[in-house]
Amino acid sequence: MEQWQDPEIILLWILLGLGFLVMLLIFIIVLTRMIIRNSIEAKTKENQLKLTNQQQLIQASITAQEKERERLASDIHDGLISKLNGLKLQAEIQYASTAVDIVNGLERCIMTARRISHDLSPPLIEHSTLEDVIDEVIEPYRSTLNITARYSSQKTIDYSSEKKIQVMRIMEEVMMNVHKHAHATAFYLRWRTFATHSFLYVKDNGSGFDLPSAQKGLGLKNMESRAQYLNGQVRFHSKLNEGSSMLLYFPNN
Amino acid sequence: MTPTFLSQYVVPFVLIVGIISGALNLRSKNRYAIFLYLSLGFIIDMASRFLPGFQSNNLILFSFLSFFEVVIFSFMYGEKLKKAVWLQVLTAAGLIYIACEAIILDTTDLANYQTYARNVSSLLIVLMALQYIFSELKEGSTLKGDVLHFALLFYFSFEFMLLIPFNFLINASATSIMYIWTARVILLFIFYSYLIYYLWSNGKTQK
Repeated sequence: MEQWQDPEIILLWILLGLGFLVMLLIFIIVLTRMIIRNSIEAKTKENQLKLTNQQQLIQASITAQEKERERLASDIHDGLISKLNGLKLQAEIQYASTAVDIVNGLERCIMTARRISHDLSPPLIEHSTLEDVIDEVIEPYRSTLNITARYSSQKTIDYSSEKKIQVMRIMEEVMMNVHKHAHATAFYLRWRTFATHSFLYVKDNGSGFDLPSAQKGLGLKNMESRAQYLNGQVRFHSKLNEGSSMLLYFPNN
Repeated sequence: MTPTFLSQYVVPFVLIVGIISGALNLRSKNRYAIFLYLSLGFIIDMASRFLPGFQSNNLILFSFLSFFEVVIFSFMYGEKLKKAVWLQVLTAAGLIYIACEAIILDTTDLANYQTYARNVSSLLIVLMALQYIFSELKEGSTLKGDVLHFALLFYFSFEFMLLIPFNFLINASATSIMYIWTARVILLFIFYSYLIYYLWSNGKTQK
């Protein structure tokens, strides 16, 4: 009898084959899991790298923007305003009685230039609190808007000037939208500081906007970029004719 | 193209092409090992044609092929084997088993000739490939584009399964075993073709 006709040998072959198949199957399952895990990790790393690059790009762009604003503000303040002051003084001395209109005109020019300079780069921002900065932004709108502003903090936080500027720019954009586009009559602002994060919530009763189309616009994109600069998030909510709201939160450190 | 034509003419031709393309690019350990493997395949192929003129059959060549296959792939996976002592021990034991079997088994007694040398060598190569893949994955690699080791894993797993009933494959009637040998020849042809592609494509990208 040939070996392959022996039932015991056949059983041995079957067992060998099955054993090998089981071993292979187990290995394949483990390998597949490891490959999937590694692929996910590699993809996550790649995405994180992309995100970091994007964030660095935004930060560089915003920093450059702020530096340029500072330079312009300084040029206006030290160059233009000084010259206008000189002219005003000259006019006051030489033509005191005859050139009242010119002196008043120069005074208004100086005021305007000073306002532009302050808008471009707020003076003494490093010594102001974030609440003061926000208040300064909303103050001019109090005459046309019924503003309710509430501030509360669990902890006193000394925000960096960069952070204050970013929050201020976001608020400026918000106030301009509320005033110019939403035509709101009431505005609610809530600022809360917790141990780790800060939250800014604003709401108006204006005409609202279509979120998908507005998100393509520069205004909301700028706010998102500034929120990213703060390592935070910004969320918008709006419905046509039902007002709009915005929530900004970012880590304190 | 019949399986006989494939095994008698096409496979040796493919091997010659592989040896030439391998000889032109011997710059990495993997390619050197594949070149050696294809050369071994060609030598065994040629020997299997001439050996029956001196002996009753050429079955002893299976043991030779198995032994040198393990040696070649141990050389290829040498770096990774250094970290796996268990696999080193297993490889040494496997080589001793194959050598002993080649000496002890009587190739003239076909009715009782049952070799496990091919299964042992295939199993060892599968384990080496798995060890390599595992260590690469543990290091965080995704093995993207690293097809060679999966090809080895696939081919030698089939080889292991197909050649378990060796006694049946050499003694049963031709009609009942024809499909298994045909499957093996086709598999061998595809495997050799892939190895040539590997040698050729690697040589091309590194130029």
